[in-house]
Amino acid sequence: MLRDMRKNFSQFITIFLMLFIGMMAYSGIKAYMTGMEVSADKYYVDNNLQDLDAFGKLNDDTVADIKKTEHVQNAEGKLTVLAEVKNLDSRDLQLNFIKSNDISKFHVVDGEAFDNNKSGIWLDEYFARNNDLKVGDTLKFDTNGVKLEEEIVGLIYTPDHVGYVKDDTEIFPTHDKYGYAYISQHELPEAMRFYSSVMVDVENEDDLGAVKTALTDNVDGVVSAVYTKDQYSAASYQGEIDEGKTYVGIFSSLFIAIALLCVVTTMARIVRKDRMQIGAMKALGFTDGRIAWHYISYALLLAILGTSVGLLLGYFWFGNFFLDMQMTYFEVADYHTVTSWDVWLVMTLVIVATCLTCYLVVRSYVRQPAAEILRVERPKVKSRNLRFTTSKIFNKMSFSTRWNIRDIIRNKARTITGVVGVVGCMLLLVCGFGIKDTMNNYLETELSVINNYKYRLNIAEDTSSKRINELMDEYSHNSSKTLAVEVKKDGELKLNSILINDSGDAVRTLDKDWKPMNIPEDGVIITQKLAENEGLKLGEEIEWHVMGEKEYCRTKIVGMNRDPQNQNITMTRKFYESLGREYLPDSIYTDDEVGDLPEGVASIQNIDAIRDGMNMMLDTMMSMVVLLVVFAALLGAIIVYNMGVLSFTEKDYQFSTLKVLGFSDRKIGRVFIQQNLWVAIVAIIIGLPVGYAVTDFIFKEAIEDSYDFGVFVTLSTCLISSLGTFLVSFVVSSWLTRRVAKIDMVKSLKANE
Amino acid sequence: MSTNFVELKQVSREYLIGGQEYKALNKVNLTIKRGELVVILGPSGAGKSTLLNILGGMDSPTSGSVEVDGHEISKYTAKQLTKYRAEKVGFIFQFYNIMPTLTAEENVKIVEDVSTTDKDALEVLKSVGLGRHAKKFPNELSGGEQQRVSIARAIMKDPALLLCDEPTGALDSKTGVEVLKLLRKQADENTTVVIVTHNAQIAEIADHVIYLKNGEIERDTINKKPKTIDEVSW
Repeated sequence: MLRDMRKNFSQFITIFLMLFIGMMAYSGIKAYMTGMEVSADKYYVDNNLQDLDAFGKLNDDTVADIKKTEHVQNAEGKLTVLAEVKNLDSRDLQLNFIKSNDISKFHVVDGEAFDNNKSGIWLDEYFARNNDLKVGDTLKFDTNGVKLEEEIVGLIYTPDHVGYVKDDTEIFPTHDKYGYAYISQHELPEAMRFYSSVMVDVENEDDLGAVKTALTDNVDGVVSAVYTKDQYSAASYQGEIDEGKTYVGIFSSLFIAIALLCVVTTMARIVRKDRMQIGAMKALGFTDGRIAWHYISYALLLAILGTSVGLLLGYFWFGNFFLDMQMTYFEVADYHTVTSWDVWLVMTLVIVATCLTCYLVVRSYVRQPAAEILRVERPKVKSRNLRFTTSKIFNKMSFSTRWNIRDIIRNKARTITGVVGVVGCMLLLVCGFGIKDTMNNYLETELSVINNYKYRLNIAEDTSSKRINELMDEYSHNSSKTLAVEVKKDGELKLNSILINDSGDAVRTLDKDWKPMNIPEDGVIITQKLAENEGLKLGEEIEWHVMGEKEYCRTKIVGMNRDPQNQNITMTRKFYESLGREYLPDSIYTDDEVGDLPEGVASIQNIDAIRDGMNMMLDTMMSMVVLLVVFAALLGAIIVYNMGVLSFTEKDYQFSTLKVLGFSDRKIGRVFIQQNLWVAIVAIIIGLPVGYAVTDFIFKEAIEDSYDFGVFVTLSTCLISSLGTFLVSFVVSSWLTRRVAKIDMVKSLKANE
Repeated sequence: MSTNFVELKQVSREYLIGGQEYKALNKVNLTIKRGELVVILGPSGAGKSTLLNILGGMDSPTSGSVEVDGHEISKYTAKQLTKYRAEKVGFIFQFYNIMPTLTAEENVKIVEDVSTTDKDALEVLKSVGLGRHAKKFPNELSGGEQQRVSIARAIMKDPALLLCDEPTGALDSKTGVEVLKLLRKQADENTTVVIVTHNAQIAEIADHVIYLKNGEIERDTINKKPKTIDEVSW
């Protein structure tokens, strides 16, 4: 067996590499995805993530009432405010004032655990790390007239801040600019010791619905209760896992399937090449089992070696690389990669499939008498299949063209395997680049087409209408208001939002073709994706109520729009006011420069800063895409090389005859390269639409319900993928033609086909 | 048959096999005249194929010189040897070595890709009795027919030297006779034909018989009255 390895060393290495890359990509991507899920689940349990968040006018009495509610295990209130860090440049923190920390417990990275009697601030570790802050540093705030100066006493993660963004214009966190922090309620004056929300820990998951209803119906002050798993933190993280499951499944399965296909066919061809040796062994009296074991043990060793190394590197490196990338957005304590049972199953299947292939090919030989095995194996192709290639058109073709056409017809399986292998790699390339293109297109739509302003002024909650009007006069009359609503559908209430858009051209609404449209004024419009998700139709009436209000409104759907990021309801100010409601904007959009935070403005968003954040996120994503593309290209190159080696070995005899007849090495090389390039071209032609379809599938099926990305593959992606595949095929084939010079012509005189 | 067409002087060919030096040919001196039908005989390992390979430009001697048609091919570069094979040498193999993906006619026509020839492939095929099989693929032909395609391919370029390695080795006696007649015809048309074989009977039809043993020429005889092929008892 060791001699066989040495004899077929390049084949041994390519099979090993295909198994290794396929398994590494599969197990690595799976390990990261499963790791995300398992790590978060443990984190939620260990740190007691709340089950419900109750909102309204809340205080200690409300908390006490909630605790008394049936099936409620515990409840803790918190006051959440947005505050600018005075002693840092353009940095905002979500400040949470709490009394105790038994729910959504801190995971302390550095410093002390929470103590209600202690002054100081427990700061988001990501924010601290990105701003070079450490325990002992001081942060200053001025929130709602209360001046605070707090020393950092702990750096923490909390399970209800796994994912967080400042507002709905951000899809990924910007940890350098925005974070969260906790301060003891004692630091606030008595008058401010109330809560904006209460975290509720429910005894049993089955009781969640009942407790939610009980809180809104029976507890004074509670306006709404929301499942924590539906809140941004858990939902965005879960969304990432859910969307990952589809595209990760596609990517990882493609890698392993392509690798397996090539390995299995290669093993079969290696064994077939040894037909004479098998015959000789049988003639010498070796038992069928012993002959089979000779080849199976070779396959077994290779498969175990390749998949094991792949599994280990997938777990320790590939998976960790992806997980680390994900965890630049999300904060999960003690996250780690996890190898799930299906990875072991796939590994076993790969090993079994490789060995089984060997066994089946050997069996097909050893079943015959030794004399029969030793007889020349006739090509199975029938001449009538080649007959059409003797017609006039074919007669005008060059020798190499005719030779290659017929060689392909004679060796259909080999050609199809080659095409499938290269199509797979082409598909991976188009997918990888296509994801990047689609994300770029999304950002372009979001930040240049939809949001057409420089600054967004977020009005503070308690700002008077007089002050709002002053702000509008000063900056712009382009404004909007967002309402958190619950929409009733089939008796169920679903959280959503309504955008009252009075922004002129500052926030554009896009139609089904992603072109700006006017919002009809006789009803509401909803996003196409929301309509699909909720089964809503044009002309249908929807029933909704603003969070905190008991009254329901019924409004007609008069149009549909598309939004890549927010699947919500939109109406004009005129229609909103026609419902008997007063319009007080919560956002003003302007292109004018805004200096210090104006009075009545809670925060200012700079679209360029958001763009920078998004670009950072894209850069991170790009490194993941690049890694996938690099390994796809590597796998592709190995497959092309392997197919080339096999193809060369199988044509060795014919090439050596051509050489004896006086064909130059270059001419023979051209015959060989031509066929490989044909395979590459066919694979490119098939791979482009298939790659597009898979990318489309990923974006249609995999992404969260809240996103609506139209797949977008640029011409440059098509060109790069096609040219890359073509070049790899050309370079590998050219490199292999060096073997022509080494052909032993003498062999051809004695060879026996 | 007057001038020396092939001349080997002190030709040796050594190989390293498993670290051991093996002399396939040892200081061989030999001349062959134009248009001779030469049969090289000898047991396995005698050096017959090595000699044929060197004459065909597929191998080069370790020492000594090989002249063919006045050119010292033992000094040729790989590129020159390719040209030499393409233009001067025709090969006939024991197992025919014809391209399975080409028809009989195309297998003969393939020569046009590497050398200039005035001959028409179909006519050449007809001359070896395969005119009606021109459009057939090799697996539609019998062994003898395939060997005749191989001969047609070899003579298509009108080679000065026709090298045959056990040309009848895979054929039945009747077909073998037909093949030998074709080779005799080539020699009669002034092509130098060298046949390597184990079959001593073939030597009776040769003009020149060389007997090799252990890499050396044991006997080198000129057959003054070669038998016709039909006279040879097979």
